[in-house]
Amino acid sequence: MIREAAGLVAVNLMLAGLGAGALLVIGSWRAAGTAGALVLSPFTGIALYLALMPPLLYAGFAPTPQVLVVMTAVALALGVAVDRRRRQPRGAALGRDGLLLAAAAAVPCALLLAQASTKRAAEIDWQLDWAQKARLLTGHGGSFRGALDDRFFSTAYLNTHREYPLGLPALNALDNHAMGRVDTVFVHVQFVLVLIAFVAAMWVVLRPYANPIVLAAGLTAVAASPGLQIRTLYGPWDMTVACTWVAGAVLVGIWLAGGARRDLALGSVFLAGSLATKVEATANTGLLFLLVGLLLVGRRQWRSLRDAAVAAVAVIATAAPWQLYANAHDLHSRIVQPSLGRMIDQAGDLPTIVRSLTRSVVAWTWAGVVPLALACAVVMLLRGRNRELAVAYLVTFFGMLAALTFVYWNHTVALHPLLSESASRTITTVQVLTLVMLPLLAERALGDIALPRRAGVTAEGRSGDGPPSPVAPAWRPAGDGP
Amino acid sequence: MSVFAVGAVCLGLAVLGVGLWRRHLAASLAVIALAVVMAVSTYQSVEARARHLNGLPHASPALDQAPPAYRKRGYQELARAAISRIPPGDTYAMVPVTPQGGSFWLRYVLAPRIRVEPSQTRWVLVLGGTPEQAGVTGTQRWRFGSNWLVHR
Repeated sequence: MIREAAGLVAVNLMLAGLGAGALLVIGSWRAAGTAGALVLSPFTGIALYLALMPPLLYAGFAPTPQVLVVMTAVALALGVAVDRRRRQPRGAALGRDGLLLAAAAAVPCALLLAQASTKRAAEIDWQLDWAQKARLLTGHGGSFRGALDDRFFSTAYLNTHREYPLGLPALNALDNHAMGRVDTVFVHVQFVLVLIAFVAAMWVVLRPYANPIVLAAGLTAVAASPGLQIRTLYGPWDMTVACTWVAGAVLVGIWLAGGARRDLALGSVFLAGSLATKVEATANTGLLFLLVGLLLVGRRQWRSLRDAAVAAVAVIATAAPWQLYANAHDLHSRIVQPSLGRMIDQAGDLPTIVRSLTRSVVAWTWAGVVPLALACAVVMLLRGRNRELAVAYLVTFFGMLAALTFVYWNHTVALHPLLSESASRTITTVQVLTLVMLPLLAERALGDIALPRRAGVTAEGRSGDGPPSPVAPAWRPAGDGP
Repeated sequence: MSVFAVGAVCLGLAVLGVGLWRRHLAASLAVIALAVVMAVSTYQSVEARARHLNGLPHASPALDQAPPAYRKRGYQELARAAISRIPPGDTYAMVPVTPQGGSFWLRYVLAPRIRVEPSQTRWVLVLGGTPEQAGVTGTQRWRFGSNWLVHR
C-alpha cells in the first residue's frame, strides 16, 4: 500500500503543479494570494488534466507520469512568464480561519480515505466502462506515446459507454502507472482526493463572500454528507462530474457578480473538466451558458456577453475533438434521442419523470439539504435579501431539473428501469450545487452576521463594462443588502 | 441517527473544543476526542446506506473474480490461462457456441488485451462448446470446463 500511496501522492502533487501553472496564466494566482492559490491548485490541475489529456490521447500521447511532468513543466514555465509581466497586486492572504475548515473536515475526509483505501471495485460500471478503459490505456503504448487504439471502440466493445469521453479513464490510467500496477482498490483514494481538492477549492473561491464559520460548516457538510460520500466510493465518476461542473458554475456566477475575467477563465477550465468526464455535463453546461447569455442580453452588457461567448466557445472547443471522433465512429448512445414526435408520443411519461427526479433530489441520503436551500432562497426573496442570488440559485436549480426532465422525456428504452438505474446519479450535480450554495443562502436568509469584507476584489482584470455589475450586491453579505 | 446529523454534532463539538483550547486545555481535548469518537463510530454506516442506493444490484463481489454464476463453468481458470498465455499487447476473440453470459467479465479481466473479431487474431476463447462446434481450428488448445482456449 505504501508504494501505491506514494505513487498517488506524487501524481497529485504534479497535478497541483499543473494547476498552479494554469492559475499563474489565468491570473488567479495573484488574486487568491499564494496560500489560497496553493489550496486551489490541486482541483484546478485535476480539472485541467481531465480536459487536456483526451485531446493529447488522440494526438498519440500516453497518460503517463512522464507526459504529466512535461505538461506541468510547460504550464509552470508559461505561467511564470505570463505572471512576471503582470502588474496586478497580490490578493490578501487567506488567513488562519482556513484551519477551521481543515480541522472540521479532517475527520470525515480521513475516514473516507481509510474506507476508500480498502474499497473493492464491484460496481458493474467499473467493469463495463471506467476501469476497463483505464486498463486498456495503461497496457498500451510506451512512456510517452501510443496508448490509444481505435480498436478500443470497435463493436466488440459494445455496452461499454463508448460515447463517454476519456478524461476519467486517462486519470485512472495515470494512477495505474504511478502505482506501478493496474489497481481497482486503492485507486478509490484518488477520488477522495478529488473531493478534498474540491472542498478546499470552494473554500478559497467562496471565502471572500461568506462568514468563515458558516462556510466551514457548510463545506464540512459537503465532505461529510452521506450522499456525496457514497457517490465518491460507489460512483466516483458522478461525483467528479458534479464537483467540476459545480465549481465551474460557481466561478461563472462570481464572474457575473464581480466582473473579473480570471474567474470566468477558471470557471471555464472546470466546466471543460466536467465535459471531459461524462456526457451528462453537456446539458448542464449548455443551460449555464444559455442562462448567462440571457442575463447579459437583458442587462445590455455586450462586452461581458462577448467574454461569455468566448468562454463558451473555448469550453466547447475542448469537447469538440471527442465529439468529432464519436460522430465519425458512430459511438453515440441510443438511450436518449430528442425529437418533437417522441416528446408528443411520450408526454404521458412526464408525471413519472418529474416524480422520480423530485424523489431523488430530496432523497434522505442528502438529509433534506435541497428543501432547506429552497426555503432559504424563498426567505431571501420575501425578506428582500440578496434577491438576485436567490433568483440565480432557483433558476439554475429548476433549469437543471427541467434539462434532466427533457433528457428523460426523450428516452428510447424502457423508462422505469432507466429512471431507477440513473435518476439518483444524474441528480448528483443538482445536489452538490445545493450543498455548496447552502452556506451562502442560509447566511443571507437567516442572519445578520458581521462578515469580513472581500479583500481581494480589485478593479484589475475586469471586463470593462463600466460601473460595477448590478449583480454584485447579490454576492455581498446580508448586512449590505437593501 | 443520520450520518449528517452526527457530522453536524461532531463539527459543533470540534468548534467548541477549539474555542476552549486556550482556557481549558483538558476540556478542549476531551471535547475534541468525543467528536472524533462519534465520527469514527458512524462512518461505517455510509457503506450500509449505499446498499439502499439504486444501481448497486449489479455489483459483483469484486471485479477480479468471476461472477458466482460463472465460476462453476471454468471461467476463472479460462481467464487465468488466457492471461498467462496471451501477451498483454496482443488480441483475442470470443466465440460463444451456446449462450454463456460472462463475456463482459472476461473482456474486463483480459484487458489490456484487445478483443477483436475472430478473423483478426490468433487467440480464440470458445465458450460453452468445442472448437469444432465453433468452427475454430488451431495448433494448440486447452480445455477449462466447457470452455476452450485455442491458439491458431
